[in-house]
Amino acid sequence: MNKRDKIIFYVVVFFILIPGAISFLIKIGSYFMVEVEEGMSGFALPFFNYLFVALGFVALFVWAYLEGHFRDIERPAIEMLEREQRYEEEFLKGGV
Amino acid sequence: MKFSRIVLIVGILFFAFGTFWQAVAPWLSLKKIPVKSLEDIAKDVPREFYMLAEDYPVEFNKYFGKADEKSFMVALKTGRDIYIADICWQCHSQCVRPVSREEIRFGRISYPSEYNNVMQLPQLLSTRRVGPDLIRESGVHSNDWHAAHFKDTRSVVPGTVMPSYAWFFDKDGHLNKKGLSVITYVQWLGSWTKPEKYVLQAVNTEAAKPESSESVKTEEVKPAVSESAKPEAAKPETGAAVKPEGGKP
Amino acid sequence: MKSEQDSIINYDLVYAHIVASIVLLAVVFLAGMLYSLQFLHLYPFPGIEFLSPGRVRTVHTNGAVYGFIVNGFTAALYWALPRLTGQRVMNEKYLGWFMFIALQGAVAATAIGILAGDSQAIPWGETPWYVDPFIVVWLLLALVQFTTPIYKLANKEPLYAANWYMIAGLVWIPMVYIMGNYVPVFFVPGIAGAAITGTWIHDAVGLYVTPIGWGLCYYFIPVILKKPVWSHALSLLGFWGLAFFYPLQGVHHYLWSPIPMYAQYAAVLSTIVLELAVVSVIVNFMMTLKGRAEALKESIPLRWIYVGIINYAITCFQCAIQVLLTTQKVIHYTDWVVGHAHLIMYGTFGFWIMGFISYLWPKVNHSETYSKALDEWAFWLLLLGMELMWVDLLAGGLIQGFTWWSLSPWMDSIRYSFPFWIGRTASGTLMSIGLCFYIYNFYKTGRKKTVSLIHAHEVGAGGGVR
Repeated sequence: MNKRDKIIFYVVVFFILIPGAISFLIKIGSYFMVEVEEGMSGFALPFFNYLFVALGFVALFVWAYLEGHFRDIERPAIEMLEREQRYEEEFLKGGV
Repeated sequence: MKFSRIVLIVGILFFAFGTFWQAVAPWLSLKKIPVKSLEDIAKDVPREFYMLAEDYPVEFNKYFGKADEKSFMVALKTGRDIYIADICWQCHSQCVRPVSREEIRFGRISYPSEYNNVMQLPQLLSTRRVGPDLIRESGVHSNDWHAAHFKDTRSVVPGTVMPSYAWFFDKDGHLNKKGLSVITYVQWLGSWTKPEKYVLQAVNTEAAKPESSESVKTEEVKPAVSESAKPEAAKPETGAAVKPEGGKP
Repeated sequence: MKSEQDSIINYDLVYAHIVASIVLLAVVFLAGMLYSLQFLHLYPFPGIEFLSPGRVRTVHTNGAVYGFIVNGFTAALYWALPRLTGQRVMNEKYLGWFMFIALQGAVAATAIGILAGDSQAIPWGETPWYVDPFIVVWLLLALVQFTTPIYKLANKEPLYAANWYMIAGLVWIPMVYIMGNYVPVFFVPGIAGAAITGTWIHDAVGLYVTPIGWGLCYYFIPVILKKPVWSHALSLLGFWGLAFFYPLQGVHHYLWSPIPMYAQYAAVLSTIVLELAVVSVIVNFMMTLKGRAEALKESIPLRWIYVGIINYAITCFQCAIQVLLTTQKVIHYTDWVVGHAHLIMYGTFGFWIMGFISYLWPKVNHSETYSKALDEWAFWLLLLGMELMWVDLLAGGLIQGFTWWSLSPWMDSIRYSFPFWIGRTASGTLMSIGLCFYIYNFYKTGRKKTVSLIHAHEVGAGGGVR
């Protein structure tokens, strides 16, 4: 990380990620408060549903990380093109 | 077994549980929300329904018989189904917002409990208004106006883009079952907020629960109260209509 | 002569889905034009129950999603996925053709059901109740069919961004569909139902159409430009941003309604946060194009795709503005939203599909594009019509919103909208003419047989992998 990257990193963290996370947590907190008091539990449905789906994504993300999907992060983009080129050549040669 | 595999399986299980939740949760949540059935709704038959029976006695008698709670239930259900079948809901909303002076144009601001009934299954809030909002339509126009309007919209409202609904009338040009039902439905929308009913409910509520004005918490949930700058529009809500429904044991 | 290629892609399936997509697009255009005529008092079938304007409008919206977009995406997936992964989809001969027939059957049944008055009052879920189970089964079959090659690849090497997007879209949509088409219709009435409906409306676009569309762009753009995406890391960031932020924002379709305000605030907030993910994706594609913009002159498929991306940037920027509660006071319930929906569904995803089809159609036919000039005409007419319609409806929406706010009589808002409705029909006519050119060219390309495949769809000179 050079200096510029560092500045961008801290700006993003302090001005976007942290306020976003805090306001999100506050909203979830107020959700539960209202939920408990009012019994508007119709909202539990989309909320919990997406909570579980999001947790599924967290797990998927962790899985991808542990499998080494992000180790050489630019490789798949190049591999995909190499594969495509191979197929395209075959296609052009072997066409009807 | 590799740890990453376990994480993958856990992730898939969360997906599965998320999907499962969609089927289970409605029943769980339905326990808490009191939902009005058609019978509950029919306890308050709007007077427009009786007037309809008087205005079109022959047709009414032919399709519904006597004007009472039972025939009201049939007509209301049929009318709601036609409202959906003819996609009325894509050009008419059913929600008065607390902004844009809508409480002056249409009437009382919408509140959650008035939607908790089987007629809003599926909900008909809608996202487009080519024509005006209908949730306060009861009594705004007469039954005759509606009949004439459905028959030839442009002769009643010059320049309107609403199509005429020829299939609401029989061969002789009289209202048929569909027409009567739709008028019943439209005249029912918002009948629960109309003045005479409101006075009656306020009296009942006051007699039953004198301290009710203090204990209203549903306000917090509603945009109506949190935002509205019109205290006279918000006030009736707190005492009258929210509480008797929400406060039912 | 059979090459290795033939064994992993089933050309007939790609062909069939492309044809279905284009035919249904024509039907959708027709329905839209018919409905717009109602607003000019020129509706040609007054008093016919089965062709009531409301029902025709519903055929228009549902046909666009289930007919045009799902068919177009499926065609592109049948091509792109085997080439992306080096694996076949699960089964073409039985499952593939069964899915093709089932999809067309479901679309036909939906259209007939809606015209007969069996629709449900869920936006984009108007599919009659008796069609819903079949669509759910279809979506589950699609999930199995298309994730099989990705799964096989994932065991061997790290996944490319396009594959992530496709997995997400295919996994999300059956769940979201079940939620949107059953829960508010049979179980949850009223306001809670509205929240779920809003979630469904948004997720149909955001959790199926968007990820699959982006995923396919991540295949077609590098392939046409013969150059890897600018930053694969950034594309993954965009994907995970979409995965985490998208599902929370459905309520923004019912702002200022009696839905609890915390839900509305959360929806507004997450809609704005999602902008980050969107910008990351757009920056990535624009940087991929950097230095190769000449290719836009040569390649019409690429042009469709990039114009779609620019439209996407416009729509998403517009979305972040129109979702604010202040803006909603004016524009909610107006034609503004209709304009927005047209730009995203046709101006972005529709244009992408037309781009994919322009790229694939000569390939599956082993021919060249019949006429470049016709293609150009089609492109410019459709683009012009689309942008005109968008501006027109936005302006009309503002007029309607302010007229309502000013408490003028209701009919004033109709009278003032009239010029804009004429503008809508006019721009729709432009688009229809463009589509006629496109379809004629499409038909001719399908009939034309050439052998000079080497020159077909070569973009610029000196491509090659970096």
